Amino acid sequence: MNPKRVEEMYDAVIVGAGAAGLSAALGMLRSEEFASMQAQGNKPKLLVISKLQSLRSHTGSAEGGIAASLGNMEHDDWHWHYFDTIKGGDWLVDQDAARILAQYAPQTVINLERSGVAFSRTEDGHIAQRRFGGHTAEYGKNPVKRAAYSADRIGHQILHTLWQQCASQGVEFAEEWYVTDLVLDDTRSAVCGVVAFDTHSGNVHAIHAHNVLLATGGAGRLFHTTSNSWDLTGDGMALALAAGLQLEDIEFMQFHPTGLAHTGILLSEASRAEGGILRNSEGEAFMQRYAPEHRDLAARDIVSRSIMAEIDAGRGVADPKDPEGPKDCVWLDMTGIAADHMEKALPQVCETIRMYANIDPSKNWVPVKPTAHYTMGGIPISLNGEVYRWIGDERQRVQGLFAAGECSCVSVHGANRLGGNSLLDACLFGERAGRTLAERIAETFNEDSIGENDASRDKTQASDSEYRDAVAEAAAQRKVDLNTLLNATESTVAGNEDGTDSSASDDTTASDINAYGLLAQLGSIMERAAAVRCSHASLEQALSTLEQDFSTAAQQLHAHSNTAQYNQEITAIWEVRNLAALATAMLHATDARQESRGSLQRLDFPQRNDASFLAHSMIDATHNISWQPVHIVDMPPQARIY
Amino acid sequence: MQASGQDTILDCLLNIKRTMDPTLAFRYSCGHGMCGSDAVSINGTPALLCTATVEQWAIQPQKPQENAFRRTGVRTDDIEAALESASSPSDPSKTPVSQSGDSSASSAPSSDQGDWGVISLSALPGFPVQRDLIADIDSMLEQIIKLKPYLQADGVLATTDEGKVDVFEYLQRPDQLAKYEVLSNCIACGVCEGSCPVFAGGDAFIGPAALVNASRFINDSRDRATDARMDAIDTADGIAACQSVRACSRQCPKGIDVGEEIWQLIAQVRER
Repeated sequence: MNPKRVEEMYDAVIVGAGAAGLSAALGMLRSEEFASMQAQGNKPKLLVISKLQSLRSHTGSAEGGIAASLGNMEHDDWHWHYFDTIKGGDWLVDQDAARILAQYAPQTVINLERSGVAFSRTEDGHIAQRRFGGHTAEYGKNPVKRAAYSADRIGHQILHTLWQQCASQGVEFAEEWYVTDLVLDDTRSAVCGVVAFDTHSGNVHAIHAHNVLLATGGAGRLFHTTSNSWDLTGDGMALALAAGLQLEDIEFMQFHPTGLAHTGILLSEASRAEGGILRNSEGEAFMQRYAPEHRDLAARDIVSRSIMAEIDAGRGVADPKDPEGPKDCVWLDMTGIAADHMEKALPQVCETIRMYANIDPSKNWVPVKPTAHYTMGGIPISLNGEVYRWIGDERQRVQGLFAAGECSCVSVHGANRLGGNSLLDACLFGERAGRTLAERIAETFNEDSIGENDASRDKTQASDSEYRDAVAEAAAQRKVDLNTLLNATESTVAGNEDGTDSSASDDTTASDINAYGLLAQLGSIMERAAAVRCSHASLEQALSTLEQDFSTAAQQLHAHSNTAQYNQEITAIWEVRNLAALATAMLHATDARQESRGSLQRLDFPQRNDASFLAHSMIDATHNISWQPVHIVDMPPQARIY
Repeated sequence: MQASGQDTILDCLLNIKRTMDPTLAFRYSCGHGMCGSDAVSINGTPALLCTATVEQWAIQPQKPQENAFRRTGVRTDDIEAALESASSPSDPSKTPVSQSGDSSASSAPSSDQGDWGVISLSALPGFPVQRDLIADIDSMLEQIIKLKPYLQADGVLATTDEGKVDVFEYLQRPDQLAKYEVLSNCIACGVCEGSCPVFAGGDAFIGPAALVNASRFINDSRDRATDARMDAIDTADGIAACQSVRACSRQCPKGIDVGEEIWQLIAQVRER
């Protein structure tokens, strides 16, 4: 479903229709400000743009749970959740943000339930909760049941419920539109709008907006083995870089310990919470050596590193589907879980194992391997979702620009995210951003005398008197780019004007790499250089490849069909270019952090170094890095032991 | 192309995109049956590309017999895809097997295991085709939305008082959850719609996906709008149009017995 026409000016454009984007839309629509503007006949114009159709966003793949100290199963306290989040993030967490996360988590989960999420239930009808890695009682003592769940499909439930609520409010969507440009004013102090490619019509739209919220998700597709969908290509982060903004802590990529062997498909942490045990080639339950207290339910980075250490020590196993291949997996032993309980508690996990590994988890051990899962870093935002630049040791807001969810970094996850905290971050901070957005729109309405037209409001947004249409200029440039990509084939193929596809030309040879092939190459380069562990040498090597040959190849990409409508290759080219820009930023930021912390393990700097690096990296497109102090409020850094 | 029996058809198509024809258009996202974006017709049966494997679906092409019936026309929805294929380069490995008017065929011979044969693909039936395997399924979402697919409970939403949770969740016992839980797993992929001989998109039969979503709320103990929901489906283009063929149940990737659910709805509406 798509807009019949593009408005001249939107009050808010949300890019992305997963948990964060939809929560922001609902936060805005449910706010008092929105209600009163609507009552006055000033209903703000909102558009949600997504490169996917509705309900396809990757939120739907989240399995295990959403964390909140509801205390429905046993006593819990939000202060413990607060502590666990900070410790899990290896003290790189901004504590003011984590405090909000833990404190408002119960309210967020209850709001989701009351919106329709079909949570699993206790016998007396309350939301059921299960244990999850790193979530403890009494500040790190015993594991606690904190993750509210819905069998193992919590993400699906949340995504569908949020969409249903948006549908009930008549939110307008632009589906399968790909945002190519984020447009700021000359001084990068205010947002002007975005440029979007409508993949159906093949048109490029200039979309003017007083406010833009980016909620485009993570960048797992930087790596070959990833649990992320094919669409998680870091678009929002790349848009921010290209617009001259910075990314925060982008060197932190979480590898989930239990991807299903070489497929990367996630086997939920719930599989270990319900009793699954990791074993090496000798059958040893090795996690008791690395984390004697919490063993298989230690934080994700610790489990992933332990698996890698076993593999590096020669105690890995080959993927049974590729028995001659590298011994880069370990076993997940679920045979100790009662078969009927396993089917009930982990239906999706069981189905995935049966379908994609062709084995029975109640009888056979399952091959697993760490899989790129979550991008901790991202576009820096305030506690209210406002994007800022870190300039001269202070935060300078970009007026009207917001971000939420995995593409953003409010820094609740620090150097490593706890399971159950990502949906929480997306829903909670997404909603906060939406409410702030509504407040801002209301202020703009009030600043104008009633009845004034949109044009005057535009002027108040513009940075100076000589107003120019920066969005239209960016759209014009993008059209030129689009035509170049489309018509690269035309010189070799007779033009085909009746709209049928002239398709791949005769000179297309195997050596003519396309966007899809290049994406695979990038994944391999990043996997070698930075998956789970890295060193200066591995980073250098990857950077030299990326900045030379790869970058040339990415710039030479072109489409093999000159029909713009439903031309997926066009989007794929822009995605690969986005990923390439992001990859180099990530590698530079990684190289600059000469310590090991959370998900980042430097083989050449194995210790955490608070004296030099208890700080957030802030990197821009020119790879200029500055450091922003961590907000320490209540909990001074400690050693991190599980 | 080369393929192993356990490869999914999505794996094969991605391989084609990478190494043979980057223009081939088909939707895909999560790759493991959760996002619902990649429903197409496989050998004439609607299913998801990412859960269908080569060994499941490959068939050996049969040589036409001398006295067999002969096809006299081509199905119109195949034409577009056939044109796509015809304009592809003359690489023999990707020449579609044009038996019986099928299109976009992905043949899968494997040198060591012999010839897998052919898998025929076309866009999801019941919807207009846009390009290759991409269909316009907007009508499905519009019909789902028409039946108000959102919880209509009795309470007000939680307020945002400072730091305090002053409302609690609606209570729902596990047996009450069990009445609709499987229905809430619908991923809106459209496989049931494409399987239904009555559904044809547009304004006619509202379709099995919309009915399953209505049933999800009718059976949710928290929902208070049952009467209105029943009224909304008790129409000529609602449950009355269902002919109980139950083709919709067969390929549901989430295991929903769609036909039975609709049958139960019909019974519930009649009992009112």
